[in-house]
Amino acid sequence: MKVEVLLFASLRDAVGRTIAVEVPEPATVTSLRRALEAAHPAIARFGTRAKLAVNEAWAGETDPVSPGDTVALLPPVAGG
Amino acid sequence: MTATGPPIPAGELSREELQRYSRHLIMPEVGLDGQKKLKAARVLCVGAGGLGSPLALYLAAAGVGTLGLVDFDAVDLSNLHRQILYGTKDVGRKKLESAAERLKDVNPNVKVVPHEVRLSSDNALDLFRDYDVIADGTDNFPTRYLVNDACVLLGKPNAWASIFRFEGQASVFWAAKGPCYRCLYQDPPPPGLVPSCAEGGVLGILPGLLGVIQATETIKLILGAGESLVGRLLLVDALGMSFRQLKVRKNPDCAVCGPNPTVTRLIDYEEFCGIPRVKEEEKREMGVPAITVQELKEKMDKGDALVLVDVREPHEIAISELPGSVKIPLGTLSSNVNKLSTADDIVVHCRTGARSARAVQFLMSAGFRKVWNLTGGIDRWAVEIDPTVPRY
Repeated sequence: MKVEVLLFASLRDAVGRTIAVEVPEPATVTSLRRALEAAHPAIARFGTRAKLAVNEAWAGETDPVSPGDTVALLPPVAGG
Repeated sequence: MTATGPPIPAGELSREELQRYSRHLIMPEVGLDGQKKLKAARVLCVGAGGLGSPLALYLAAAGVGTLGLVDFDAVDLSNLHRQILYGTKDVGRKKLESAAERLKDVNPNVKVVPHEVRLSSDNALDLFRDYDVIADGTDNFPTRYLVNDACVLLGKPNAWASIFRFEGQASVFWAAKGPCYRCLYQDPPPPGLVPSCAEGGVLGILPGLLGVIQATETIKLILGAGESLVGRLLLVDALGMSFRQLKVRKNPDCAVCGPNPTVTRLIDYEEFCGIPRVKEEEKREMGVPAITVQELKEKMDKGDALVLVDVREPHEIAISELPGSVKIPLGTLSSNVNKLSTADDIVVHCRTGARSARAVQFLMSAGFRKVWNLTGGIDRWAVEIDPTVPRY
């Protein structure tokens, strides 16, 4: 299935506001993360330090990702 | 005003305060009881910069009785586009000296407590202990984790916000009621992966937006009013002017607030974040081969053959440049490496030396051997060699 992911902060600068990737079903946060890492080196550099949120909730690595879910990828930010 | 009036019993409001807080007092959600709670409250603002400025100003205006500030910097001209605690006359002064003056002017009823120290694992617990709410407005990962862990260990709420260029995040991390920062981000990013405000820039208004959210959450915590951001992460996008929120939950495996914590006292946060213990400049410039601006000037004056590479962005080069430099923004270096020759002596520069150090590291890994980083960048060049070059 195709999953469109909203990007934030430094990943938005490096990659764009969204990125779409193809993930085999049934998908999890981890399998989606692998597809994202393969799609762009800037995402790969963050690894699990950038977090995925699914349907407006922080997601664990084993959480499922279903067609039509709203997915966001959030790298940490520390500025003040 | 209060100094000349009769002594006010603890927790009571003077006539001047009743007038000052009139618009609070007529709202039942605050009222006299709420205003007294604010007066009795003790809030510590960690960092008196972009976030700390609006935060401290609004908390002082609202009548928070004791306002602690932690910072050790002096005011720099480049702070003023966002750090609204300070004015042009304050440039060069200690931040806390200027801040105390300004906050006392906003509200002389507030007791401002300056803590002019670098927050560390040695002093954080003692500093935090006396405060009811901690508001984290710091600007780097080691201190973010330090503030988080100290709050968890002491059971204090952390009114938290963080910014990046046009975006911000805010939450209230309070381990007793919801997740802490480590529940969200277990591991810090390696050094250099996330640009700081000094490296990546920041929209001046953005810390205003986020600092005011921190102040709002702080006041709600003190009043016990409304729904706090505990368990929610607010995402602010100033360019899209959109506000989203994410539900966040406690991580049962959290190293500091989980049931089986591995962090039971404050640790070495620089080490935790992978930052080697070296001088500030060496830390930023990663120990790559370097050349000073004086050495570069001598080489240029002697007519030595060298290639000067500028890895800044086009909008920065529009402000200033060193003549004859090859312009390759850092992000495009890997695809433009064929424009450079390993046979040449190459000096790489950026604004202050951090990005160019990464460029030198990359070029060395690509087989270049005669490549040096210009320590302090074009900024140091403007200060020490050519004052006609504008600084930014």
